[in-house]
Amino acid sequence: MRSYMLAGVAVLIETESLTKRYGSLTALDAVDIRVEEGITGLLGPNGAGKSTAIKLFLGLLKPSNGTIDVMGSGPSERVTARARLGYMPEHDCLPSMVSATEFLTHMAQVSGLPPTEAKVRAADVLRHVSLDEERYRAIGGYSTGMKQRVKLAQALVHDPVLVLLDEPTAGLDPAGREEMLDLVKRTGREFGISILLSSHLMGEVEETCGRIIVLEDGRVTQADAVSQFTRETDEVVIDVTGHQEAIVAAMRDRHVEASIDATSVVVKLKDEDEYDVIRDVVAEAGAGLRRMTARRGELRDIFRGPQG
Amino acid sequence: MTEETRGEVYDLGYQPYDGPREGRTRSLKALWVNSVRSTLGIGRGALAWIIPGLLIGFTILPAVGIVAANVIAEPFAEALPGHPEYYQGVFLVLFVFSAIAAPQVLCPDRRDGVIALYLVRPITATDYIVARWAALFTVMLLVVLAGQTLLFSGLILAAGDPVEYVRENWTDVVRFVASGIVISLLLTTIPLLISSFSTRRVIAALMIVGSFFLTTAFAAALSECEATREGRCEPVTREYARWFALTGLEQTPTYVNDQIFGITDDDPRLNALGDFHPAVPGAWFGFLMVSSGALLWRRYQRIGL
Repeated sequence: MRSYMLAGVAVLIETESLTKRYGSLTALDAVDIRVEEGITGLLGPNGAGKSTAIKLFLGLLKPSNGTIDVMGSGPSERVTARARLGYMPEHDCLPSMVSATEFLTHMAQVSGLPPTEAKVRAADVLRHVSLDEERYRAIGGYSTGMKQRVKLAQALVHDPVLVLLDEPTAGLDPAGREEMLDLVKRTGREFGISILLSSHLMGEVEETCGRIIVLEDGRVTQADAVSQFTRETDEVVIDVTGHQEAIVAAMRDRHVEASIDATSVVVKLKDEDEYDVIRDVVAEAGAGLRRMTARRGELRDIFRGPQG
Repeated sequence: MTEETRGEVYDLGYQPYDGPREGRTRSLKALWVNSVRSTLGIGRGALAWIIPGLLIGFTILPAVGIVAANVIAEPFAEALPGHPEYYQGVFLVLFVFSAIAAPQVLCPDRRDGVIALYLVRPITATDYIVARWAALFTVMLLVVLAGQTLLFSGLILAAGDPVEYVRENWTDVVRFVASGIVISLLLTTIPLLISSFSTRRVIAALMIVGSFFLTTAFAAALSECEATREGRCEPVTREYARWFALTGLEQTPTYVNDQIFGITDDDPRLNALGDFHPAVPGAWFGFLMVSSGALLWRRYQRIGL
């Protein structure tokens, strides 16, 4: 691996003004993306350009413009670099007639591992994804959850530096989804394999990833650590027993910005003295104060925009 | 009193791989081995290998028969078919084998979506299709040569003086290997190209069978001869017959086989090809193989995830 270090963190993928056009349609529009070691979420609605970005990272598409650096490899070395890349597609991609152990052994060899080592790796990885007991059964007889785990296992069998996961929980029930996300977290944290997780589900990205890159209409709209998106805001949420309209009106009379959100009153603080204003207004309105807490940011705010 | 020994199993957790990585050579070898095994049904249970096994048996059965006939009816040995006629005799079986094997090599990867996993490995689409082609060519060549090799071996053993037999007939080996390569090229490239147009093995097999029968029937109908008043055999399409004869997928390799063995045939379609300079059917065959291979390659350059 020839990734470079930036502020003590290995940068695995870096793009500059990356553009991909299909005829008149621009799928990616001059995006600058940096994927660092750890678990990164590539979040965006359908059609945002996530799959195009992944295909460009894998070297399956040529950019219309701009540059991509994947683990230090340029365009001419992209095929060789795939020896240390893993990919788990969203769609079905498993043979039905062969066993998981045979399939993984074969895939490890196609990634360049010698036959004996490939067999050992296949057994190890299948154990890590909890398929060691079923590994000699034909994949065609597996449940959806088991097939997803085989898909993850084939992406890990050659011990990649970075794995690209495309909607890894697609088609899974809630229990299967939790299991898969646990596996993804273990892969990133215990196995030391970096992950780029492409998803349109904010919940699973928030639960799993340390960093998020948000794509919308082919452009990167946000890119930061998850903690930055979910940190405390300057808004205070007040749950009261009633009189919400009166409280908001009284706040505005005292030049404090307030609004009603469902059954709560949300106050935008300018300075800490306004906590006294809140106390006084609630007391004057004769309402009971149930809870007062600083509001934390949510990932869904990304798509709601600043006016939310 | 024996001392009880106790063992404990520790889960070492995930162990990174720091062993050798053999690059593209290993990748290609893995694809080649995988295709050879699936073509012959190795490791797939009885049902998978029984049909290829039977067909291979049928290709070598005539060799056993010819050797037995040579031993039993030695005075009539000259009248028995030998190496020059062998391929024509088993061509239909070889062709059915290729119609089953070629779809097995290409169709499941696209039908199951496994192709997407291959193309993100350290190989290109060209590597993939070259390895698959090479695997089927290897199997076809082995199957094609099996009967001829058995026949040659049997005739050596049946001969009164085996050493003398080898000395007099060793050129037959060169000829049947050269002819076998031509037939294997045809039975690899065209069936693989046709298989690349379908994800279903049965459909692809039917298309392969159809293409051979249709082109053979087309060429036969348009280069068939009719008796003239003078008793000569004149092709129905006159001077154009030789061009129509070229379109039959079976005709050209059969003609090349006859050229290699230096024999003449009474078949009017082959006679029609005989109107050409010998290089023309050879060049046509070369063009057919190169253009089919190029089209197959092109199709796999367009396959995405």
